[in-house]
Order: sequence, then structure tokens, then C-alpha cells
Amino acid sequence: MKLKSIRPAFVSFVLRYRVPFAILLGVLLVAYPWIVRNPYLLRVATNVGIAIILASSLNIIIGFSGLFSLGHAAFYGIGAYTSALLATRLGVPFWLGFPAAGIVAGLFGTFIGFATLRLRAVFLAFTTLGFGEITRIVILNWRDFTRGPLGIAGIPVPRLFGWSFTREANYYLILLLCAAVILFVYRIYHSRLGRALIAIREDETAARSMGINVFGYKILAFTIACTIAGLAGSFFAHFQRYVSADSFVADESFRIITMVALGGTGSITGPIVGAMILELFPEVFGFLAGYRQVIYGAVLITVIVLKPGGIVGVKGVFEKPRATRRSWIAQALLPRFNGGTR
Amino acid sequence: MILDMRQVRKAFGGLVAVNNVDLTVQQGTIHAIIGPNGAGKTTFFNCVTALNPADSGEIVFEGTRIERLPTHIINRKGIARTFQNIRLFPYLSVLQNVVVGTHNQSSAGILASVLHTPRFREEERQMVEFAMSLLQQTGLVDKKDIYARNLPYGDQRRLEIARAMAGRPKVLLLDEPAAGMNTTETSSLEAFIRRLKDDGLTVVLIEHDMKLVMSIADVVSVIDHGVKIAEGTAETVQNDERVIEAYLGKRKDT
Repeated sequence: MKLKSIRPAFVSFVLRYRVPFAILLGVLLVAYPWIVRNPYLLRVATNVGIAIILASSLNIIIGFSGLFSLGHAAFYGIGAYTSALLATRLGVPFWLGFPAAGIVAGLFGTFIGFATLRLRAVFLAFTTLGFGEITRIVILNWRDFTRGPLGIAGIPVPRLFGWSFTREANYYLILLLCAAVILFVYRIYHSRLGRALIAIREDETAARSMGINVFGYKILAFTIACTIAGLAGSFFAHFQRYVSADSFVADESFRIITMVALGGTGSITGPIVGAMILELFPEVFGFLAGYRQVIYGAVLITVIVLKPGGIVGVKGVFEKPRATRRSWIAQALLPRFNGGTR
Repeated sequence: MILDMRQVRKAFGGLVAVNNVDLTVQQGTIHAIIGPNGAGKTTFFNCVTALNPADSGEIVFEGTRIERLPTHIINRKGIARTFQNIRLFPYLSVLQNVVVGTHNQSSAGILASVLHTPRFREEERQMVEFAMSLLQQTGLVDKKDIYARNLPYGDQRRLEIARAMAGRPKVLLLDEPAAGMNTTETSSLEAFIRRLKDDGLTVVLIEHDMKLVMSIADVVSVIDHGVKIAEGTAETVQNDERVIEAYLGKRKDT
């Protein structure tokens, strides 16, 4: 019996020439600032980079472990504020504030995980949704500490040996961070840890019976994802040079979820594709700004109905649609029906 | 004895599924548990593996009590199981399913995985090699790359056994391994279980296929309504009045 996977022709094409393609892509990415010579396009690319990191980290929670977090922006915000406050109040340089932001966001993640991950998955969704709101409200109201609705301005750009980062340097920094996060996620996916997470997603009881500490791994996955979001927040704060609660509202969490769902849960490339589409869409179709939420909603529903795995998700591309599948109604009614029973 | 259960009891509300059962499994034997549907056999397995921990009673494995331990620790101690209603990881390949089973045999942490240290690579290689050898034994090598959900039913059952074996258990609990298999598949399963016994493994199996049970079981325990009603070799159990009653009903006096 042959492998029952069907890849679109262009995917096979890219895979066959993956080395030249990778080199070409690398050269293009490195040369990008010289190609465009445009501060606006450079800024857009940097924002895409942040989005890719956020979506890839959320994918560890949603795509790998099958958990659901509705408050990813809160951890992103905690990282941003940690770094911003350290820099503006204590003069801590970016290179120390950056890991600190990751650690603080990760600790909050561990705490939330401990509180809810023993319960059914839906409780994590509720708790993270609530936590996101609490974070926003605390930032807005704790004026002495966070300057409330004014936000924190005048965050210094990263400096290296007395040299302040330019726009181009920021671009290269996010490029490097993106590459590191993607490599990290890829290697986690193809390791004992990744397999344990996927096993938990596929069948928690079976995973437990295979000696996998389900609770421990869920906390670990959640903590890793929150840490990465915190790191992205730190970069955002020093790149934007200004943070306020407006950047870390529930809408931002939903935007990140949409990136993951649209691109494809559980794959490495899915969130990257999703982040690029959702980040570039408003730039290209700026005139539709008023209808953005409507369009996001429509896109999300279309994807969920037509291609539940997302554009490049595991359950999308690699599954023969319809032919081997029961209708989605039958699937919904008989979730554990394996077929072929005599 | 390798596994000793004393006065194990498990109730779901008012229904007592397992009622103070004593059961001793000797090292290196094939021990069958039979009984009518709903007798409490699977619940008994769930008590041993702590998926549904027992309400009371003791479970002793190799001299230590395990009834209070969580499921994944029990697996690490050397008790693996399969499921009556197959529970594979549907969107993992056949090979990956077995590699997940090696979880308790490996130890690579995050750092080693991300940095691809030589030790990590060596461990990965060994795990895949071991998984492949198990697929060889179960005759699934040709299908190693297809999704588990696309396997035929009989193969799914065999894959479950291979996955359970990947953790190098000392005791293997099989929950109706022959269910839905045809005669050819059942006899190859029989040969496979015998080989496991020859390799020193202890096998406890729940099975409705009496032909299979009678030919391979060293000891047969019969459970009915949560109570153990008979135990012994295949012949003694077959001729036991209470067993016949449980399966066929009371004999009419002539």
C-alpha cells in the first residue's frame, strides 16, 4: 500500500529543488532592505516577522498539543511591558530585558497552566480569555507602574557596543529571531517532546498509557509558547519604542489564532503562511479597513468548513478529501468511528 | 508472582463493576480473563493502569504497591496495555505510533532536541531502529508510512500491540486482541503471543475467542458481575458448574 498523501504539484516542485530555493529565499531576505529601499516596506516586513513568531509559538499550544489559548496577546504584552519598564525605569539594556521578558511571560504561563491544565481543555480557553482581559485592565489602571492609558514612550532602541540599531538592523534582528524560532519549533516537533505533545493531541488516554506525563508536558508546551510570545513582545517594545495596552487586547489574540487556523494547525509552515497573509492583507487592502473583522470572520469560517486543517495543515493537505472521508456530519456524530469494522 | 491484586473494588455510582477481586499473575505466564459482556474485565484493566483507579484494594507489582500511582508512572514501571476500542494516534504514521511508544525508553530533553546533540541523534536512531524491529515482528513494515487511521482493522490491533511493546514492558495487558479478526489473523496473533511468552514476557489477556483462550492460556480466570467465579487451567474452568451457568444459564434438572 502506498503512502496515502497527495501533495499539490507546486509543493513537490519546491521540495525537489529545496536547496536552491532555500538559498534564493535566504539571499532575498538578506537583500530585502536594499531591494525595497523604503522605510514603510521595511516596517511591514518587521511586523510580519513579529507575527510569524507569535503565530509559530501559539501553534505549539493549538497545533501540537491540541489545547486552546484565547489570551496569547496577554503574554506578548507582559513581555513587552517587562522589557519596556526595565529599560525606561532601570536603564536595563535590550539584551538583558529581552530574556527577562521571556522569563516573566513564561512564569505567568506556568502559573496559568498549573491552575487550569488538569481540567478539560475548555477551561484553559476560558481562563486565558479572562487572563487576557485582566492583564489589559491591570495595565490600564495601575497608573503608577504602567502609566495607564498613556502607555510607555521613549523606549530606547537596542544598542550594541554604543551603536544604536537602525531600521535595517532591527529588520535583521527580527529575521534572525524568526529563523531561530522556526528552527526551534521545527526541532521540537521532530523530537521526543514534540511526539509526546502530538500524542496528547491525538489521544490523551493512550498517551498517558504510553508513559507520557500528560499534565507535565501540557505545562511545558504552554510555558514554552508563552516564553516565545514574551520575547516577541520585548522586541516589539524596543522596535516600536512605545507600548500601550491597545496593542495587547483580545482582538490581537484572535488575530493570532486566525493566523494559525488559516495557515494550518500542527504544521511548521502553516502559521508562517497565515501570519504573512493576515499581516499583509490590511496593508494591501487598506481601503477595506472598516470591514476587516467581517472579512476575518468570513475567512475563518470558510477555512474551517472547507479545509479544517488550514491552507497547509496536516489534516488538510495530506488527507484525501471526501473520497476516504465520511461526510462531516457522520464524523461529528461518530468521532471515534474508525471504519472497516466487521 | 509478578502482579498481585488483592480485594480490588471499583464502583461507578451504584454499579459495582469490580467487587473485591483477588487475582495473582505468575511471572512468564499467559493469564486469560474471561467472562460475559459487562462482567467488569476492562474496568479491572483500568484499575491496574490507573485510568480508573480502584476504590479500594491493593495492587502489587514486583513487590511494590502501585494502586496510588498515576498511569504514566505505572507504564514506566513496566505495565503496558492495549485498548478494546482501539486507541491509536490516528494522524501519526504507523512508525511514529510505535516511536511514541518508546517514550519511557528515552530521555532527551528540550535542549538536546533543539541543539541536536550527538546523544540525541543516537537515541533517536536507536528508538527508530527498535520501532522498526517491532514492526518487523508484527508484519507491519510495509505499511510504516501510512496514517494509522488508514490501516485495516486487524492491522490496527497489531499496531496497538507493537506500540505497547515499544516501552519494553514486563507485563502486557491485552484487551480483546482478537476481536474482529478472522481465523488466519487470530492464529498468527496466537503465534505472536506465544513468542512474547518465550521471550519472558508476562501476558494478561481479556478475550472472547474461546478457542484462542483455551489453546494459549496457562491460567484462566472467569469474572461475572464483578466477581471472580472460577480460576484454573482451561479444562478445569470449562467444566466448572458456575462458569457454565454464567455463560449459558442454569442447567435444568431432569
